[in-house]
Amino acid sequence: MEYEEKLSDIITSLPEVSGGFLYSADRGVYSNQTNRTADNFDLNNVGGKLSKIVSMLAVHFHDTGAIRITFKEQILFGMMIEDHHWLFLFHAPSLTPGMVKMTVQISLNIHADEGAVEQTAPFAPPETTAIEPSENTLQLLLAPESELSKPLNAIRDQLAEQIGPVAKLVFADSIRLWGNSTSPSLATLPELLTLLDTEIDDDNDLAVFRTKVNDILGEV
Amino acid sequence: MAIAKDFAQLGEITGVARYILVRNDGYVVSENYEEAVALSSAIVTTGKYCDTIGDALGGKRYIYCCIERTSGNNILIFSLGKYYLGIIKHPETDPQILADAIIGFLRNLA
Repeated sequence: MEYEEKLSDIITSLPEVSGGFLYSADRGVYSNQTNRTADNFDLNNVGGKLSKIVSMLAVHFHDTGAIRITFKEQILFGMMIEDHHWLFLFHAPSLTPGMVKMTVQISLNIHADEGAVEQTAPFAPPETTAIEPSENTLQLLLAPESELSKPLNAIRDQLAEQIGPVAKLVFADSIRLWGNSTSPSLATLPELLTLLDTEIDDDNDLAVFRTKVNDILGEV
Repeated sequence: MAIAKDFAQLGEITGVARYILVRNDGYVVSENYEEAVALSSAIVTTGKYCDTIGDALGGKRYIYCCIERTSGNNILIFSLGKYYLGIIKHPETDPQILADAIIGFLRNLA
C-alpha cells in the first residue's frame, strides 16, 4: 500500500525517528515498522486509544489535529492521514514537533497550511457519521421491546461502576464495534463482553465486572 | 498533597489560557474554564488511556499528552495519580516550554 512506503521513507529520512505504524479502526495495525519493538496487539491498543482521545476532544473542540504523547525519552506522534487512517511515529525528543509534522505533510503531499484531518477528511462529517449510527443502534438495542434491553442496561450499569464517568462513551463505542462485527443478539453477547473487557484496565475491577455480568446473564 | 486552591495558581503561569483539575471519577476540583464540567470526562479518559499506553509500550513513563489544534490552543493533559490536569495553552506559547513550566510548578507543590 502507498502509505506503507511513505512511512518507510519518513523513518529513513529522519534519524531521530525510530519507527512507526499505520492504524485504522477497521483494519487495526496494517503496517508495523517498529522493528518489532512493539507487537501488533499492543500497537492496536495504542492506536485505538489515541484515535479515541482525538475523537473525544473533537466533540468539544472542532479544530483538533495531531496528538503527541511525551514519554521520558521518546515521543509518540499520531496524525490522521485519511478518513479514520492514522500514521504514528516514535521519535526522539530532539526532533521538534514542527519538523515531524512538516516531514509527514511533505511525504504525504499534504498542503502545509492545512492539517491532515482538514485536508483529507474534514473532522465534523466523519465524527457525525461515526456517532449517529452508534446512537441509533444503541437506542434500538436498548428499546423496551428489544430482547437485549435488560442485559445491556445492566451491563452498562456495571461498566459505570467499574470505570466511572467514561462508561457511557465506552459502552456506545463498544456497541458500535459489536454491531459492525456481528449481528447483535443474545447469542453474540459474549463478543460485546470481550470488547468491554479490554476497556477495564484494573484486574480487580475486571474480575468484579465479569462476576456481576455473569450473574446478569444467568438471569436472562 | 496540595489543596485545590494551590492549583489556582496554574492560571497565572505564562502560556496557560485555561486549566482544569479533575479527580478520576470526573469531579472537577479546580478550574478557570467555564466548560470544565463538560470537558472533565474527556480529560479523565485521556489521562487513563495515556497511563495504559505507557504500559503497552514496554513500561514507558508517560509525562504528558498534547492534542494539537489549528487555533494553536493546544490541550495538554498530565496524570497526577488519581487526578488529571488539563491545560489549554495560549496559541503563541511553545508547548514544550509550557509543559516544562507546568512540571516545575507541580514539583513545587509536592
